[in-house]
Amino acid sequence: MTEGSRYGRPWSAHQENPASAVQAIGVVKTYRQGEDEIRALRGVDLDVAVGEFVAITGASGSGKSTLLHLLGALDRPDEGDVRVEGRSLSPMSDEDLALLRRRRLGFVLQFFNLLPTLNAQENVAFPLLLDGIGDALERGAVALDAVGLSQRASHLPSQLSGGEQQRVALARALVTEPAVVLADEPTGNLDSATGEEILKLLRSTADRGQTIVMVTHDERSARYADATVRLIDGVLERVG
Amino acid sequence: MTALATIFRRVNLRHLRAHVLRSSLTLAGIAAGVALLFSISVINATLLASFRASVRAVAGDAELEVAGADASGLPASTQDLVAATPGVDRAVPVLRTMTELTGSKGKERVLVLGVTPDIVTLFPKTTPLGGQLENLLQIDGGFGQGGEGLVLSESVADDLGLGQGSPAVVETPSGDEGLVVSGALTGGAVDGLNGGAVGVMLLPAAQQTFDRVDRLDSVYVVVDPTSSPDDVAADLTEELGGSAIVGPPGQRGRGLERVFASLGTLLSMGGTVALFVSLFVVYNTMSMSLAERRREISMTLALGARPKDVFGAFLMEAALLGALATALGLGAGLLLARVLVLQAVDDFRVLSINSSGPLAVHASHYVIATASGLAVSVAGAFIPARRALSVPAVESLRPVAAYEWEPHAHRFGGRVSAYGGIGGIAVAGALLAAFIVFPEQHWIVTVGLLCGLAGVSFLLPFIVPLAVRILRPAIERAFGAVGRLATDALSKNPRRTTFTVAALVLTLGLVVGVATALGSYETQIHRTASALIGAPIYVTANSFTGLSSDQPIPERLGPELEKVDGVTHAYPLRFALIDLDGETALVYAIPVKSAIEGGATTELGAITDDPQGFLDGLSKGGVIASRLTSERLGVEEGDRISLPTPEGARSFEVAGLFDDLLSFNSFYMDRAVYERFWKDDVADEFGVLLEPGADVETVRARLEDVIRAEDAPATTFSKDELVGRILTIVGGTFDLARGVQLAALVVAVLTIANTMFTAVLERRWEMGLERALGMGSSQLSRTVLVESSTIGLIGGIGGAILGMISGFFMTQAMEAEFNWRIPFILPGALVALSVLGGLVLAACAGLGPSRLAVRAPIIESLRFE
Repeated sequence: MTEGSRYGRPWSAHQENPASAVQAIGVVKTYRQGEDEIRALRGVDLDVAVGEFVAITGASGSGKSTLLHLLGALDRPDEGDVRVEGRSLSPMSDEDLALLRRRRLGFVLQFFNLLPTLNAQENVAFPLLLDGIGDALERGAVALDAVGLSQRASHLPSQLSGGEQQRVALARALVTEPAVVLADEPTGNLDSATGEEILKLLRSTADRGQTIVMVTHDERSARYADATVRLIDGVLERVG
Repeated sequence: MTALATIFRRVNLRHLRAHVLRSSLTLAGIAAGVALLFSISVINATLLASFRASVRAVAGDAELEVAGADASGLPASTQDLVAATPGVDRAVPVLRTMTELTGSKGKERVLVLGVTPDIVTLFPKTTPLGGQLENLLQIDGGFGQGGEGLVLSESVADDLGLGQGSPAVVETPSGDEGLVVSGALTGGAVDGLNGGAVGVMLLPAAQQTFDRVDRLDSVYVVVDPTSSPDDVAADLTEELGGSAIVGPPGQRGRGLERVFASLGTLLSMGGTVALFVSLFVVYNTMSMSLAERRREISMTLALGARPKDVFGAFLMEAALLGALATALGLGAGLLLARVLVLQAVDDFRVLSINSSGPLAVHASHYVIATASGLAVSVAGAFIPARRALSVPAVESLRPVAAYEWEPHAHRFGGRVSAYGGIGGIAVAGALLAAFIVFPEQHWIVTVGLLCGLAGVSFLLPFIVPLAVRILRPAIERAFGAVGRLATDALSKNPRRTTFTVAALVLTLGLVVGVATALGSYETQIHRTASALIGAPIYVTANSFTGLSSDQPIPERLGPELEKVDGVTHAYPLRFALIDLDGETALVYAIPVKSAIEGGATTELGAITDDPQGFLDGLSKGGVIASRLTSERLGVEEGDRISLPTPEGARSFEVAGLFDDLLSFNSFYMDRAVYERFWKDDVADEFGVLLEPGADVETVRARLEDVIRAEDAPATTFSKDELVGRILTIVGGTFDLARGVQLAALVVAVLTIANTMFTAVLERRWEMGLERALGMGSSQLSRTVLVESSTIGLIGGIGGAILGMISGFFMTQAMEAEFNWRIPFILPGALVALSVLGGLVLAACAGLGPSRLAVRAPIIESLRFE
């Protein structure tokens, strides 16, 4: 079986629950810090439907980012399971998880996290370039155009403003048409006006049917989401 | 000072402890360089000391030695002449023979001395007040009935299982002979005689056994306390009229010390380059340290530390690493020296050296190696430490440091670098030109090489980034996104890339350069040997070492060889070492003309421009001098030269010149002339010419039968075998150089590994992000490997180019030193191997870092901002 057949088009044909984009089922995550054991997540259940825009809020240290890392296949839970498009991540190898992140997940992070040596267009096209896709750069240009940055395509991250960098990051998250875009405090490092622009972009993306899970500590940001859940000491409760 | 000490103790030291792998790699790199430099100087000193000790150990307390000017030694009557000279208290004669002794437990090469019983008086042991105690050399058990017994040191007797009364077999020019062990040689002086592998016989018995009747090698002179040794020496010189060497004990070996000087030059260059390369290891390590600690340094500065304290702490860290590595290097160097001395003893069998004595380690060796280790460490850390000065305090407060990179922002290699590069190369060229004029001054080559390396190092900041830019499209085409990221990483930190490539270029340049020069030399030796070895079969003395034989073959074997079916002619070859005004010279005593007329395929054109003049000159009783001899002694064709013979100095016409591969004086002389003046009719070899169509192997078998029947200490060799044997003897000399090359390569691998670890650690954040975005671990691993392989490719190509250039100059230098024609041969295979080797070395060095990159947890990496 080729990588493409596992995580390319045939993926949707094998969905167990086509209505669910990403699920957390009884997820527990514990960290050790020195001699202390910190239970970051204490049995979290979350089901994000296809096309839904969900905000996860909570105080600092409540486990928001930990949950996002688990949903984004960056880490594995100690207990419970995470499913993306109905497929359990538990039995997947690290290499499989890498392919999943490359093809079915998109990330927008607080510090933009662009590769400093690639220009904006290359940064956007990066997941496609990893797959050796022939028209990667062209598709990157289209995605960049969608966030209004086509004129900055050849600029390096250091030549872009914070808001522009975050728009590039959003374009990169969308370029593969992923199952879920995971955004971790996407406005945390931006001024309020620029942050507003980014949130509007996320909203309009969700309106076109894209599933988004956003972690934020800012209640105003959460208002752009369809639903908000709050994490309190590793336990999730639905707010609205 | 308090702030500096605090930062050093609480920050730098803890970092060293926390990064065991990195610290170990650095320690290993510096230690390898120090070990090489240290061991090479110790090896040189040990070999020289062993050689000097071996030629003067027998002298004991004698103030003077009267030695034969050639291998035939002195007439026995010399002892009486010496003893009768005013001011001589005692004259003790000695005959020296290195031979193979066989006992019930095995064989061993042993120095057998023919002596008179008063030899022991040369080794007195006195009390602090001058009272006489027992001697430091004692002969227990005596020389047996008839005075024909062999007295052995206890170590030889134990090794060979030879107790008192045991029969032993000794190799002599007339074949193996039986002797009886009659006593034991004891006392504190025994270990100094050939490392304890020694035996003594009464002089007449030794002369008889070793076919040296009426001959001596030396007479040791104890001068009357009321006379001056210099006056006595002057009287003896006048008395003996140039037929002997008179001087302090050991003076006869002075000429051969030049062999060690040549070897020392070659090895010192290797050690220097290895240490130079380890400078890059330190640079990389400290850069890695800086990369890891930028935030911490920035925070330290934000909290009030002064930049100069941070700078000082970095240098102290480097000095500490240097000190530890130097200590390790000194220990490893001693071990390496012990191993390589054993190798060298094997390579230089022709010289009387042994490996049993202690290593000659002087305080200066420790001082130079320690200073070099510390200097390299601190110098390597200097640039990274300077960069630590430029870390802004505010950086720790900013979220993202990784975006600091911009193209062209890190371009380096300014005007100073360009001038330094051009200047270094120009000085190197001038020094190499100077060396051709002053070939005696070996230091010129070492300094020239260092200037050249420094010059190339200064120019590499311009060359390496350009090479990366040139290779980039091809690498991107071949490896896609992986290739792009790899070349980005190289471009992102041109300083680090350049330093790593420089380490590889310099190391491979050294390896290819030395190998090219030695290859040219060996090829020329092969050509010359093939041209000069004109007989299809040779009968060679078992003890022939390449320069002379301890047990030569008696001339009477020649006619016996000629009786063998299929043999038309057997001509004797003698290689005699003589002393020419304190310098060793080799006389090739060969009946060249009769050999060629008898059918030998000798091609004199390989060594002289005028083969007919060569033959005519020898026929007229003249000598043909090597070009080296001509230059060093200032004699030209047509001049006359005085050579010492057993009957005093004799004048010979220099009838021509020839090219020789020796590093000391040499002459061709007709065999008959040599026999007439030196009264020496033995041979080191016989060239055997065959009837047309005779089968070489069949005739060899018959010749072996004759050798056995005559009990001659000889073996047969075919022409090809002899050529191979000569190459082995010459090649053995280069084994040490090869060892140094290998060690330099190890240092280069450490440097690349170190760099790649730095690169991975510096880019942990980027790599974490790449993996978060879906890069597979195999892709990430390939990125690191492509990056290190690109370094290897550029380093390999650069090393090959530098190696060819330096090889050309080294060949020129060898030509100048040996005064021999060595055509430069472009080593195509070696160049290809260098490029391939660079790639493989770099790929191997990148394996560990690539694993490290893959193992790093993604989330941890993303937090590393």
